[in-house]
Amino acid sequence: MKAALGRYYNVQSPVHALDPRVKIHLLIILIVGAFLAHSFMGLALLVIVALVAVRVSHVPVSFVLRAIAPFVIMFVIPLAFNMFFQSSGEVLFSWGALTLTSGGLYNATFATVRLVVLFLFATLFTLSTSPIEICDATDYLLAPFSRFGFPSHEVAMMMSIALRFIPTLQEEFGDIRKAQLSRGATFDEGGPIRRLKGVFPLIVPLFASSIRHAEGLAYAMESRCYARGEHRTHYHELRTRPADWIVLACVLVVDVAVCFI
Amino acid sequence: MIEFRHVSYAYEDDAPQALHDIDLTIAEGEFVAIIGHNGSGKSTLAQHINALYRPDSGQVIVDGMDTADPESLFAIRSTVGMVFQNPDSQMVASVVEDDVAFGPENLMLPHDEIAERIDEALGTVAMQRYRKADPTTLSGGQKQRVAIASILAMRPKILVLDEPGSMLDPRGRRGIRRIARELNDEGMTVVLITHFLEEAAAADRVIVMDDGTIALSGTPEEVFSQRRRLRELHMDVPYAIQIADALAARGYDVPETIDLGKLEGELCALRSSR
Amino acid sequence: MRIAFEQVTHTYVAPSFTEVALKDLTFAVEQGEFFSIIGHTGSGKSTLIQHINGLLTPTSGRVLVDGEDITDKRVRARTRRRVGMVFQYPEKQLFAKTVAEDVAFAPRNAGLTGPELDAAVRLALIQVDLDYDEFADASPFELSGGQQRRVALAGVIASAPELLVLDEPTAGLDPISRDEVMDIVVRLHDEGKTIVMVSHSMDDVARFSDRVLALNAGEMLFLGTPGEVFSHATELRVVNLGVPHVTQLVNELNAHGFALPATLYDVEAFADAVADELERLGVPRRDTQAGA
Repeated sequence: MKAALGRYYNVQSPVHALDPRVKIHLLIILIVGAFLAHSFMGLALLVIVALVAVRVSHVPVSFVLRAIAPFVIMFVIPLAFNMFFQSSGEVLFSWGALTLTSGGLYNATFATVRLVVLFLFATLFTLSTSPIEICDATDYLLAPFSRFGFPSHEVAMMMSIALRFIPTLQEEFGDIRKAQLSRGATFDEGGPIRRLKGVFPLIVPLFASSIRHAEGLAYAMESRCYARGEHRTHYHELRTRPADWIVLACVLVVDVAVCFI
Repeated sequence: MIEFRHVSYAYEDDAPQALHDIDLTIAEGEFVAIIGHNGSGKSTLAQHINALYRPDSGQVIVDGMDTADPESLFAIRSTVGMVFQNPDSQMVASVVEDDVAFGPENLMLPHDEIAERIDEALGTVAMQRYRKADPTTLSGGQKQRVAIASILAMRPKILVLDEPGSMLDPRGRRGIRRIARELNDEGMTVVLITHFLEEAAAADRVIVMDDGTIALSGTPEEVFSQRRRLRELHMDVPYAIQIADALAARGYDVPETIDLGKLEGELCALRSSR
Repeated sequence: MRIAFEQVTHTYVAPSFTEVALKDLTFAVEQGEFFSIIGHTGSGKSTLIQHINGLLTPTSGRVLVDGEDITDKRVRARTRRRVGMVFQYPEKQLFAKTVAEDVAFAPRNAGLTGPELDAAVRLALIQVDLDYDEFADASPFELSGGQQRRVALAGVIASAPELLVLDEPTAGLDPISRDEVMDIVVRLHDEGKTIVMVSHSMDDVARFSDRVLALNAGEMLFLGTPGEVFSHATELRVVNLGVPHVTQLVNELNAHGFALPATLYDVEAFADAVADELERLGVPRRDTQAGA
């Protein structure tokens, strides 16, 4: 059984059913809103949107929390320390060099909530949008840039091919590792230099294998009439539905409100 | 259908020729097997058929089109479908139906037509159940069947299989053999590059390559009965022939055949002749 | 070196599924044997061989190496040095700039240096029929498929393992290379190595093995000499396993009235048996037809 890429959670839900291009736009709008929010009221509004979205997405809350946990921990701790070094408002308590002020506490809390909200939106996006949908959406959204010579369709094709090869390369990596272990290699002994050198017998064969796949794939794609990216149709056509526009409009309204509250 | 006229080709300027003055004609609807030791030029020959390589001298004409003509490239590659040896190096997408759709998408077909062709192609290779599957979860034989479906979806007239069973277990190879035979029965021109005798024995014609030239050509019976020549060309001699020879050395002559089933029949007949 | 499996079960546990790959296997590979394993794809062969050098340990049951349990880390480390493992398509493991460097990997990891290391590399290359002067400084990535296979093989035998495990050693090779590789394997066996070979070629298995283990869905189906195992043609076919070509012919002929021994895999031996049978039945040989 191959490991799933990223954190796509495959289930049916209104959020999953949204057009991925619309979801990318929603994500951008909500991120901008989160940064422009300047009051707890505005932030609270975004939190409500986030919680509603999680509920409607049918992804278990525990899953969402586990997904954002590493990021939150990474960022919240420095933020928490930051609150001891801001001085504004009245002093709440002090302990040696650390002084906690009401202003510091407020700012730190605000920043923390904002960060959590950001991670929630980003995580929800990857949880509800399959890698293929992300590639299709990227292909569509980058398309205008091809007018300026940017190989947007080829980039999108590369993304989706890279995706397809992740399980294959994972498996091959496992095979290579077993083979080298069987030849007496150890990957967890010795100092940093020894360990770095120990990586060669793993990386070089994987590289060689990738290049061989790439070569074979190039022949296969050419044989199937792949020329450049523009002149091909798409089996999966992205089509927006009224629901997509309604959600987009609502979120836009909320966002504008958030900026002004 | 496919014509090689005095075709020569070398991979690099100072390298020995991979193909040397090849003359070959494959008629429409034929099933031709091309065998030969590694480096004999059989894959190079196959890859000239769909213009992946173009001859240094001579011409390759496919369905009336010259492979050296850049204008014909698209038409040639939609007429000649090619399946390669490594099941993993042909898959482009993370879902089976998307991979089968790849070819038709390149042919700029509309959505409904693509959907129809996917159905048809997966049906021919008996992989409909796996339509939404992740190709990396399939066995080697199943992956090759999807690869064939991906080609069939382009509705080619010619199918070139370049050692399709090399990396498969015997069961996987049998599946490919069956599909190739069925397609040929329905009129598809099939060119099979292989080093497995059982696969070549199913063809109408067998061509044996050696160092870039055609060393032998004929029906499977004609080719595989030439024991000494086969051994010189580093090829296996079919079991049926080996057995017939061993029996002849012991004073029992059986009519020559490459088919073990027929040999069995002959031996039974010999037994009853007392 | 003797490897004993005692009621070995191996279960893979993943978040979304559980799979029992090996069920209650009990058998032993004896010192100096040529031991083959046959089974359909997915029957557990790959899981089984990984228990031989300790890459995997049983979920229940024991694997004993010369009587010592392989779950002991020290036993495992020692075993890994004594067992050489050639996986499918072993050329995937090639990584060094030169053939000599790649072949030196295993003996160097085992602690060999200087002239000893050099000698080990030279010997390994000789054992796989690759000329040292011609190939030592070549890049492994510029060799042919058959040559790469042999370099990979050399890389495994360079640390002089007592037992060699080979997973489909001839997979993907053309007939000439296949013969070359099997010649090498047989030679290594003759030199005293214990061989464990996984193969789909029933002809090879019949020709070379002392004993055969037939696996089906993780369970042991048959264990015995090739003659014993391949006499169960019908049961083998049911689980998608074949028999050697000659065996098939013998079975068919016997079904039509012949009385040939069931343990024939060799063309010459087969011809002898058929000729004898025909003569016995009164069908004259060619040179006796003219009359005594």
